[in-house]
Amino acid sequence: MVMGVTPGSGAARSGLMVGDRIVAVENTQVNRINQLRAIISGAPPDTTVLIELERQGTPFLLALP
Amino acid sequence: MSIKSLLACSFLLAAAAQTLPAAAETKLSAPATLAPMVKRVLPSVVSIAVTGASQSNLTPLLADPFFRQFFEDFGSLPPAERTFQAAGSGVIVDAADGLLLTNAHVVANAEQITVRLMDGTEADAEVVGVDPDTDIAALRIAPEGLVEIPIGQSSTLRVGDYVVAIGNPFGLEQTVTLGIVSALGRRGLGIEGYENFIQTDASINPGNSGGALVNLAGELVGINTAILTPSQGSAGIGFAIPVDMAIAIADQLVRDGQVRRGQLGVIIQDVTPDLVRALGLEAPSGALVAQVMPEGAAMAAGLQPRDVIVAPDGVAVTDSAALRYQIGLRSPDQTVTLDIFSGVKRMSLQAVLGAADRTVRQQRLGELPRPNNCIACRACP
Repeated sequence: MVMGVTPGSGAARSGLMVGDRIVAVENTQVNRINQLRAIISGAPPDTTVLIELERQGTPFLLALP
Repeated sequence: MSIKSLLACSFLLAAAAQTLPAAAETKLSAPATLAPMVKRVLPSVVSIAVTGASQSNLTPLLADPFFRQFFEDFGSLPPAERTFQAAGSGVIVDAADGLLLTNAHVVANAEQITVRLMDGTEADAEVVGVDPDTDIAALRIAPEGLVEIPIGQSSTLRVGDYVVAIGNPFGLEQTVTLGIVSALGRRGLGIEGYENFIQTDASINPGNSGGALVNLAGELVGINTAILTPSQGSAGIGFAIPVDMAIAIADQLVRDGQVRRGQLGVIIQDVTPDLVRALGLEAPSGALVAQVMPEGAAMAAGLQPRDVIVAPDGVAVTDSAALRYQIGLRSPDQTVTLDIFSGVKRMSLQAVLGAADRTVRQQRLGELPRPNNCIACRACP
């Protein structure tokens, strides 16, 4: 669950919102925060990361540059 | 002739040319005023006064049983319902049937609706039907002495066409304002479930809701509905429901008393440049399928999550709101051909629409921020 979004960050510019529930990153289901960190930190620079999330109970796709 | 009067003449000539056939455009026989057109149209625009009752906003304290009991014991519990009075506008579209159009929000929670004609005659109106998803309501009054407005075509409007708004702003009956079509196909405002607004800078203010937007021929092209404003008053950004849609909705309300819409059975969202890169999409715009609902029309047709719908029945859609609008125009059981991109492959699917079983309020999951303090509000108190 996203508890906060740093203003001006790439996540904020992409439209990530407080309350979003992250379900999968780059087609890999994430259940723990460490999984999320590992996938994102392992992504090459200047690539876009695909995030599947639930917003207000509705599936939503987001791409974080 | 002064420069000022030359400018005035060129404006009037340009305004008249819009209504004249191409061959006549070169003849300088423009009217010097819009008064004759306005005079014809005014009797078709009415003022609407509504009285009713709505749920009052009780203090959250009263949700607590202890405090609720306390207020009840002392006999000071505020009433659960509050009576209200509201004003709006309406347009007579069928004089023989006494039928007029207004906005659904004008008559929401109404217990009594009084229509006032231009000549001061007042009549009680009955509600034929309302469609909150498009904000259209059809009312009926006794068909005596009514003048119906000529119905135009909103599909032929162009950005830059002159338009005139007529209504009852702030209770000032038969107010006429002039502007142009500022934009077409405005969506995503979150005002209605199915949006496809005409944007105009003709002044629209509280009380104009349900009133007429006409072209220079005096034909109805829209129903004035909402404004975007930092102040509750006109900031030159008003929105009208296209008449093509309003009449289609009214026809269904008269025939069936309700509007039945088709449903595809998908959760959709806009395609963004970042998603194009992340998903390797071929389509730069369209409606991206986030989820396919079980046992829905889309699933039966073979639609998959991450497919991008680019055109229903050959009508290009650039975002999810446009697709929602197009599907909402269709009836249950109607077959729609969907042009889609599935990965890099372009294909067509046939879907037999299901029935939308509830009021759909537009979800703005990827909402863009508005300018500070700007609100989209219906043009009604």
